Amino acid sequence: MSVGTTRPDLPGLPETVPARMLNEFVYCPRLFHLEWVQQQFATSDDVEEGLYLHRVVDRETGDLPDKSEAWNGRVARSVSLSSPRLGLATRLDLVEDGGDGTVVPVDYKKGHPNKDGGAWPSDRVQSLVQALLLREEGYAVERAEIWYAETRQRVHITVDYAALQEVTEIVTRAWQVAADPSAPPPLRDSPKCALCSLVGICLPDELDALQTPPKQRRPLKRLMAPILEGRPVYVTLQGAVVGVRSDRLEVRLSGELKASYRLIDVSQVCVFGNVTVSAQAVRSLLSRDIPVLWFSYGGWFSGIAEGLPGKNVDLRIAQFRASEQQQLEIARRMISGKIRNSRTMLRRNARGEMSRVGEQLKQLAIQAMQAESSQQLLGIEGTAARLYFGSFPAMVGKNSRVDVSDFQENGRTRRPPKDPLNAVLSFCYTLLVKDLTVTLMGIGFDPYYGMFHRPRFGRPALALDLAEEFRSLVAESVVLQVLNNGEVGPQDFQSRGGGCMLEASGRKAVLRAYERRLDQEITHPQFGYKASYRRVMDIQARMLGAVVLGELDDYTAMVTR
Amino acid sequence: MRTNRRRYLIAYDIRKPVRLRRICKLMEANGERLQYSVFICDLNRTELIHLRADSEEIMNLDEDSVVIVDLGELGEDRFTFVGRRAGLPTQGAQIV
Ligand code: SF4
Repeated sequence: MSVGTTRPDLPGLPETVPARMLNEFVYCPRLFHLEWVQQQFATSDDVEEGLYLHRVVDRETGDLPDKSEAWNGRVARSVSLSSPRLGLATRLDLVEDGGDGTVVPVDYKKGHPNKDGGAWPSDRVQSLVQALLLREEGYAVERAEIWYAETRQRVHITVDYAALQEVTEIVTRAWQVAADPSAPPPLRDSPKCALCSLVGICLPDELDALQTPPKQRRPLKRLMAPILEGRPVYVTLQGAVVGVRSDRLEVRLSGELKASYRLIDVSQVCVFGNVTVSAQAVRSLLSRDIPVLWFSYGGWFSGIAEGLPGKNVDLRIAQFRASEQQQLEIARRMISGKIRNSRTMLRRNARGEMSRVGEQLKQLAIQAMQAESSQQLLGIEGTAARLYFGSFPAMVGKNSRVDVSDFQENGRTRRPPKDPLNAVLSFCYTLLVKDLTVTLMGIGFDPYYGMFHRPRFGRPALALDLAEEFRSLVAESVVLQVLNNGEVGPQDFQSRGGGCMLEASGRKAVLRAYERRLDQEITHPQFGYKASYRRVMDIQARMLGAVVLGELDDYTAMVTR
Repeated sequence: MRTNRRRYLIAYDIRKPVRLRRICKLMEANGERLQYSVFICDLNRTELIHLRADSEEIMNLDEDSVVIVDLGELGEDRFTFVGRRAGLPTQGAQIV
């Protein structure tokens, strides 16, 4: 039988699809799209175990014969084959002599056969593609084999007309999916997702839940996304030099080692003021996808170095193409959510009578949902902020060692913050925007193009947008915590030239409280499982991505009850 | 903070100085030195596999040995120090 190309004739498509990707396609078409078209990559313990095992199996039988020798002899290993005519490419673990003029491709798999003792559909397709490519090279192939390491079993696959026909159809469908810029929808309620390495990027259950009306929603059992082991490192020590040695991050002052962390524990490096990061350290951090962030001594976010930008270009295209109507709709929900969160904050923490302010904020939250322009939304947001900050000092308890009476007079002031309360608020907002910028960039967004905030003045507008719903939940909650628990006192501030700044000691105290808050777990209001604020921020950013990509109809802000 | 890591005690005996230096570096990247050739490493499954694979790459499997002891969930309850106390791995954000 002769098989022709299945590749659509579209400019810009690669010549061939790797068989490994077809394996993913059969597992889940969305996985195929995320990995191959969008080049999103994640690894999992299972994937790594598979790779390790592959190494061991490969080594067991000694050295590989080279390709020419192999083709004359009995066995060839690690052979790459591709056919632009078929639009396929593969790498074969092993090709054996079938004995009767035929050859047999053998594939190693870490796992076990299915419960009938046969090959899994995705493994089967990969083997059939290998057979197809061997035939294309002129070899006779009548069967393929898969070696399942876990049970040490070989499974035979018959290579006949029907099987090749079947694989051709699959390849045709895979090319159609590859040619489409949008990914297929996630699987629904599938046991495959729990084993999928991209589950933290795909979030199938979350997308499904948000597409279901709240009344019919079942709480999700758990967050399937893998745990993020890395943590930020903040270097505030003036004059320090940050370097990398033996895959450890080292902080030195005048040559003396002050701190040393494994790079596998580091998710980002934030440096404040006069701190040097060696060129070699920057390079090795970026190669591990660990961003480096620079802040002025006073805590102003001044720059970020990140590895290569996210490859998910379709997301950026969708972000820039979002219609004004869609942007407004997203902004309404974010601002309304912000106002509702600030109302909850006051209700829970303020001393004295808050019902009038609470009622006004509630009305403003409703109005925000109906705003007809971003101008109007800006007005509503401004009114809400004035009301809220007018009552903010009522949340600072009697135990606070910091005097907040100046704030009552000044109100919210930004550059420079005029009093201690403003100083802590500004610093916490900076940290929040920093983390959302990193999160958005990691997903592939352009953080400078926002939905609500204008893309100007070098501000990470999209991070500022997403920060709205987290201001009370994360930043202001940290502010109240450090004040009310006495974690900062008057000695932690310095007033200079009409501005007020956190001293090094105060800054460290706030950093500790902020990181503690991000690790704090809450029950997610929409999904019902527990997640840390750090994780919730990531989920919100991905949901925003799903909205601009058209996978989700509406954005839902993070609002606590 | 949540973690999938477990705590391992890893000790090694490497016969040639060149390989010894490389194994030391590898252990430093993965844990905290407890004693001369003993490290405490908090690792998840993937990190443990990488450590194993990288060790095998460096070692002469006929002469050298690396032993990995699983100490279970993170925590320092199992350690009693007599004399100089070594630093154990820490979790959470780091502020210098
Ligand atoms: S999580 Fe599920 S739906 Fe998403 S890519 Fe993986 S298998 Fe497919």
